[in-house]
Amino acid sequence: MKTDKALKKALNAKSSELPYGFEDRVMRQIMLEVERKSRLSYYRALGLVSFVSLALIAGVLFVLYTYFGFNFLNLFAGIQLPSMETTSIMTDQTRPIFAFSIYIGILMLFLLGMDYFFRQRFRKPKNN
Amino acid sequence: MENHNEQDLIRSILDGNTQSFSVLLKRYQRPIHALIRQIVANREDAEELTQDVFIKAFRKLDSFKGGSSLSTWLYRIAWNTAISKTRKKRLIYPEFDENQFANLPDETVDEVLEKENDEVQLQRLENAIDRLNPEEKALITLYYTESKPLTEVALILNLNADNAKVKLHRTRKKIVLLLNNEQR
Repeated sequence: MKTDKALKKALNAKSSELPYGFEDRVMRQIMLEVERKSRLSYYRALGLVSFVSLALIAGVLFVLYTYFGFNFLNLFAGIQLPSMETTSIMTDQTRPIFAFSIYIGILMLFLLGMDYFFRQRFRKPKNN
Repeated sequence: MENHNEQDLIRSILDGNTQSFSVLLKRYQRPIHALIRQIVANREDAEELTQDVFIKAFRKLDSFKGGSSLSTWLYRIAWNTAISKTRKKRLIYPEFDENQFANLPDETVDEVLEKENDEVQLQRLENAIDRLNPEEKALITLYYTESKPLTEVALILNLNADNAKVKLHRTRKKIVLLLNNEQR
C-alpha cells in the first residue's frame, strides 16, 4: 500500500492533545462507578435475602397449615389486650397535655428519622 | 507479550484493583481521542465522548472475552459512541457519481496524496478530510495514523475486509475529487 505521506500529515495536524487533568477526571468517574456498582449489588443482595426469607417463612406456614392443620390465627384468638385504665394523673384536664406530648414525641422521631435518611442519602464521601 | 500483560491487567481490574485501570487509560487515551476527534469536529464533545468510552469500557470489561485485541475492542466502543453522536446531527456529506471515480486515475491520487511539502496543499487536504463522512474519516485515521491493518479496521467499523479495502480506495479518490472541487 502507498505511504500517502501528505494524507498522514494532514490527519496528524488535528490536535489530539487531551487537557491537563483528563486522566484524573476519568479515574474519579471510574471510582464513582465502582461505588455505584457496590451499592447496587448490596441492594440486590438485600432484596434477594428478604425475598428468600419471606419465601421460607411462607413455605413453613404453608406446610404447617396444610399437613399439620396448625392454624396460626388460633394462636392470637386467645390473646386479650389489656384495657387502658385512666390513672389518677390522666384526667380530663391533663388529657390534652398527654396528647400533645405524644404528638411532639412522634414528630421528633419522624424528624430524626428524616434527618438520618437525608444524611445517608446526600452525604458526600470523605475520600475522592 | 502485550496481550498477555493486558489479560493480567484486565483480571486485576476485575478482581477489584480499580487503580490498574489507569494503566489502560494512559495507554489508550490518546489514540481513542484522536479517532473521536476526527469524527466529531467539536473539541469539547470529543473530550466528553472519550471519557464516555472509558467509562463504558470499565462497565463492560467483564464481557471482554479476548476474541480480539483490547485495542480493537476499545476502538469499537469509541466508533459506536462517536457515530451515535454524529447521527443525531443529521449532517449531509458530499457524494460523487461513479463516472467521476472512474475518470480519476490511481496515479494522480498517489501523486497528490504523497506530496507532503506543499503547505497550501496540506491545508486543503485537511479541509477535504473534514468534509468526508464519519466512516471514511475513521477508516483513514485508523489505517494511516494508528497504523492498523485493514482486517482490524474492518472489524472495528463492522465491515468485511474486502469492503474496507474498496472503501479505502474510494476514500482516497474522494479526497482528491474534493481537492479538485475546491481548486475550481
